[in-house]
Amino acid sequence: MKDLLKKYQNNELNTSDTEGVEKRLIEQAVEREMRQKWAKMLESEGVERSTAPTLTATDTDNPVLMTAKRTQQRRLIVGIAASLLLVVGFWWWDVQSTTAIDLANKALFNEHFAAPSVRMGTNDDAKSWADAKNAYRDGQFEQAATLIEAIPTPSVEQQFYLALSLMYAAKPNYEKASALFKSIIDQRSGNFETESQWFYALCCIKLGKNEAAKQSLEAILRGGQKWKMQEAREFLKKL
Amino acid sequence: MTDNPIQNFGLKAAEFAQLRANLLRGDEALFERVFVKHFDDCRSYLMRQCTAQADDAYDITLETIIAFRKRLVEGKVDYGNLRFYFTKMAKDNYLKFLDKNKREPTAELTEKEADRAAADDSGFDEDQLTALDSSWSKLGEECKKLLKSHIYDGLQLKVIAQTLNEAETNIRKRKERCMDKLKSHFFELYIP
Repeated sequence: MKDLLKKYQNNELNTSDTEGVEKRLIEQAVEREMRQKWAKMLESEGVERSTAPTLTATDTDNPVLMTAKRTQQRRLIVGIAASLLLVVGFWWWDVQSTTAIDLANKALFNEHFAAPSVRMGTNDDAKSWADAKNAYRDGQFEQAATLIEAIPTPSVEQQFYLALSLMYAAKPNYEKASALFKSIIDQRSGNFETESQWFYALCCIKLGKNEAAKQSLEAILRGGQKWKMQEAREFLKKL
Repeated sequence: MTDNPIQNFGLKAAEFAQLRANLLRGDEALFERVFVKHFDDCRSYLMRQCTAQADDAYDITLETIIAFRKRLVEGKVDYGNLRFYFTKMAKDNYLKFLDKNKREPTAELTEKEADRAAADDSGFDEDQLTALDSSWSKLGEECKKLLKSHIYDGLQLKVIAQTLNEAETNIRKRKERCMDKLKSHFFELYIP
């Protein structure tokens, strides 16, 4: 490059090579300026390079990781308890008598999906989203849903939390929530897909659409991710 | 074309066409608004599905936006499922990044190899890039816009002239003046 630039400086290049060097210079200048400008815009939205977004492998706010950890802890407790014959007997009886809808109720009400992390927002949409996350975290699901619905073009994450809020609300709207989960699955973006499959299945069970629930649970097993795989198997046995 | 905002970053077909038209006119505002808003989705996807580190996922997402913008300007991206297309591009970029890192030489570098390693993918070294940043920032907005449209986005001078309602010869001369200005600033700061 050094030699090429020297020739370019001394006008020793032919037209085609001159154009080539100029193109490379402009490409670099433009892209470096874009990166700088966008990084600043992202920073003003609370997105920084060194700060992990909502989901990271170590972030305690990571909903997937935290839910997986809790599942692991539960499994450990169940493992210890299962060593006692009496508990095993009770557990066996419990498994036999539990229906898919009981399991769905437990999954829906025993534990809420973790809230996303809250960052400062600078524009109205970012403010609505930050407020919605706080409302979700505080268990104000109706308010969270209203705030997310006010965002004109919600991201996948925002659609996902809107669906969760509708599902967890005091008066749940499983129809609307399931439609949102389904649309996230159909987008095939990879974002919140497995989670949406899981919650879509729960909504379907609540709505009596067992066949659709089965298909979604089978998709979780096919997906190969460990998250909710065991639970999906348990549900499939009941459906 | 059927509107499907959910799969297309919240854009209807007409808005997508507008976004591209704006870029061709040198107006980046709508594009930037859409992509800044969806940046975290893509970054999270890379971290979750590809187990990318936060910093790497950030860089790859930024590079993907640049590459996506280029394809958009060139008319290589159609309305349909932009979100899927974009995340696929990001994933491919991340796999290329991993592949490239695997091939990094670990043996002792020769002087020539060290020079090459000091340069980034483009072949420019740090001194050259510093001079370029500075000389580019000294150009006026009008020059930057013209060089970007013609050389970076590949728009013909004739098209730019029509948009600006000016004679093509004027635009050609202006472009040459702008390029000379950049060259002169650059070689004031960088001596090969």
